[in-house]
Amino acid sequence: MLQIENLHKRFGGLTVMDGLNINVAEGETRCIIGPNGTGKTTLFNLITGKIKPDSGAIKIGGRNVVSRRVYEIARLGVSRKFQSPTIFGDLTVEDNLIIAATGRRNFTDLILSRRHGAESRIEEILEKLEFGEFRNDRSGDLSHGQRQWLEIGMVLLNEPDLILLDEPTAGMTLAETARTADLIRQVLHGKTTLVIEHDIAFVRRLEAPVTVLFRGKVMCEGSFEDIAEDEQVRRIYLGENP
Amino acid sequence: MINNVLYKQPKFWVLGILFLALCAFPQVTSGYQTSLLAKFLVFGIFALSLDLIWGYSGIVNFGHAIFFGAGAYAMGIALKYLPFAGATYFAVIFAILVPMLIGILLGYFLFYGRVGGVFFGVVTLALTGVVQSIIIISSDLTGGMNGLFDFAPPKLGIPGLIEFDLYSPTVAYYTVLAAAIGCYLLARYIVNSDFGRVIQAIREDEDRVEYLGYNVPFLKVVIFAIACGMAGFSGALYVPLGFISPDLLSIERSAVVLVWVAVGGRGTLIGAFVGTLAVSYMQTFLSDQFVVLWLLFIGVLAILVILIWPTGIVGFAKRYSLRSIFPFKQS
Amino acid sequence: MEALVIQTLNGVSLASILILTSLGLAVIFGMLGVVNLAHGELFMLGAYAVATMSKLGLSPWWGLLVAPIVVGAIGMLIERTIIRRLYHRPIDTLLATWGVSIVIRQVVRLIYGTGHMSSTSLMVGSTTVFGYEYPTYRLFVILVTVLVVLLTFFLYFKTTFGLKIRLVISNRSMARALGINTSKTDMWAFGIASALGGLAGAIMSPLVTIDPEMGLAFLAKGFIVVIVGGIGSLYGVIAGGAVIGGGEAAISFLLRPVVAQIIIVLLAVVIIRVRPKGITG
Repeated sequence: MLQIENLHKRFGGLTVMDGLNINVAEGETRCIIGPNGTGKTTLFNLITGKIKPDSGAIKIGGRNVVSRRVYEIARLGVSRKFQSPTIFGDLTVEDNLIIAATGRRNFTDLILSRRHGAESRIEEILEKLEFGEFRNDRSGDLSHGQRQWLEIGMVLLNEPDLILLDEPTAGMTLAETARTADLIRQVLHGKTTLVIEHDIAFVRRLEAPVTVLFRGKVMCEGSFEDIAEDEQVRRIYLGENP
Repeated sequence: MINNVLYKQPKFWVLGILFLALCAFPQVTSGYQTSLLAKFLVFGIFALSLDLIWGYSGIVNFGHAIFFGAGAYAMGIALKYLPFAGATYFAVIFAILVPMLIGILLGYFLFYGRVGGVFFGVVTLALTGVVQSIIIISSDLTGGMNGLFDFAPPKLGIPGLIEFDLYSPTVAYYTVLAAAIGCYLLARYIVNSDFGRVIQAIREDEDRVEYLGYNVPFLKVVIFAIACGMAGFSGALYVPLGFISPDLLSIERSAVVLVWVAVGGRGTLIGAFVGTLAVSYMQTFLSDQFVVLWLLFIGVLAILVILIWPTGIVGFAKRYSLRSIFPFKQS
Repeated sequence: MEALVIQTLNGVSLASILILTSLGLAVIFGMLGVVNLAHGELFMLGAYAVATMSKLGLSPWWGLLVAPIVVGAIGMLIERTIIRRLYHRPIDTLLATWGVSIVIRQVVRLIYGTGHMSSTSLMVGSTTVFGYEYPTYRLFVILVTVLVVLLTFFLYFKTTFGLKIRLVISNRSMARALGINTSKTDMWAFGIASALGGLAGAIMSPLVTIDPEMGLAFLAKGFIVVIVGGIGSLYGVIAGGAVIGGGEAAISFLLRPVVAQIIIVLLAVVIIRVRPKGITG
């Protein structure tokens, strides 16, 4: 589904991607961890076309998307959730979902408000997120956790083939984090997903293969247990005594 | 059914009475008052077109008078060079298309060049001077500083059968009233459509919208072109009510329309008319000798509205639950 | 050969004027994220300061001294009363400063009348450059610009105040946490930028007609310079000023000045499309 081949990117004198190779299979959920400043969010910016790599290839479904624009890559089925909840606070919860549900429509459909059956998918998400009673509320008035979930809902409604989640539990309470992990496992089941996360408990709960990024390269890959045992990883990331 | 609606919704009563009052206005007042209100309604359409881009899409245009003026000039020039019956219709279409085209060109360069927010405002401000210079130096076509006047009078109706002279205040008034209602309904339809939703989302965070798969610059060009076309239309309607001169594109006119919208309430559509009428009628109390004081007042008003009353009259009415009076969407 | 030298000097002096007028805009935007539409009026006030001195029978050089001080103080007043309340609403600041610009214009009209004023020349005569005569005052303008730019760079990169400003630009809340009174730096930065605008107006006063509308043309050009050069950077102002000033001088040589101005603005719009971050970005 997603193949990243020999990706290089420099910002001035700073090398952020130094020959990165990642391969994510169709339907796989992959966790990306690594110390701060190791290029995790930059990786998402590169995949979504926000920034262009200096060299290397990013293939989505076999197509190299390196030269495409952000919205074109989104239309290829890449959907991203930002680190802090990024929703349209002045619009209602339902409006946010409508906008997210129909990003690939042409202009005629937009002006005529033709949604091609997206209504039922919206209802489904409202129900799954237990947002029914808030549907006409201003989304900016929701709690932090609710806004995170709303954005996850938006990402799902965007009909993605590849989902990028940047710290979906950032700033959440313990209970909210647990619920988010369950939500991701439940609704993202069978969808190709990349998750950046810092919360080790959350990573464990996801039960997904983990890739450790360090200085713009993959340091190691494996199951959570394998990674947790790896001496090098413990040293650089988990911060335990060697 | 209709009675039921009227009974339950005082809003419909208010709107109905307002509509009847507007229709009866020329019958009970003088010709001068009629053309004055017609002129203000034209300005209302102009303000409405600005609210579409400023209030809903977050595109602030400090040169909106360019499109109003371009519409008026296009109308005048077309009337001058199309000397056949029924030319008025072509002239109006021309007056919509020319500003639209300018808007598309400008939008292509600026929105695709990612010039947004405050810098769009600044560039449009700089362009005002440029467009004014262009009009002044191409005096063969536009009449230069003297303005454009020797064109055929615009007429509506069916040529040869029944014709209405737009220079008659009553004809102009009813035409403008119908146009104002039509433009309002069109704008209302646009902002309530899914396109309108996306436009409002762009106002809040255009990057996020792009990540959802929307071609943001294209959508901005579209809404900008619609607004420019509507501004041009209002400029065309202004032709029988005023003079075509480079003053139509002045920086003051661009500033005043911003104040109209801000006073009425941004992002409400109806506020554009409310603000325009309120400020314009206030202006009639000051005689022409006090132009300096009037502009001073407009400047102070701009500052005060932004600082202490950012939601404008309609926002104020909304908050104090005068909801029934203003037909806005609950959002 | 003569034409070439004169045109080059014209280009350089035009570029200097643009750099002088745009510098304040760039400082305010870089530091506060505010686009000050009243900057043109601050420029106009600077010119009126010189004209007032002439009218009072004083040497116009006093005007050159008074202009930055008075205009700087007015700038600080604007910052305290209006700008400060709007830092989180950039588009609203645009409208508010637009209101300020109208107010200043009309107040000047009320005090000085609508007609134009003139100031006594600060310097007359011409100097020989590479064997050709060129007005001394225009050379003086170039010299002042170089000095002001150097001073601004010195202030920005070598003084404690400049360090504070750079800190505030890169991380406002961190600067506050380190004990910098950001509200005070904001006020001073706005004041200094306004003073720069006032000084530019004072310097320009002998070369232009002084009337209440004069600020608008300079404001529009100033912004074009800032955007073309690269938003918010001091180097961008210099590059933008050089391109726009040089371009305008070159085109004016071939076509009517008014046509040259039209072409320059349209050209700027095209440059923005090709290089959205400006020529230095």
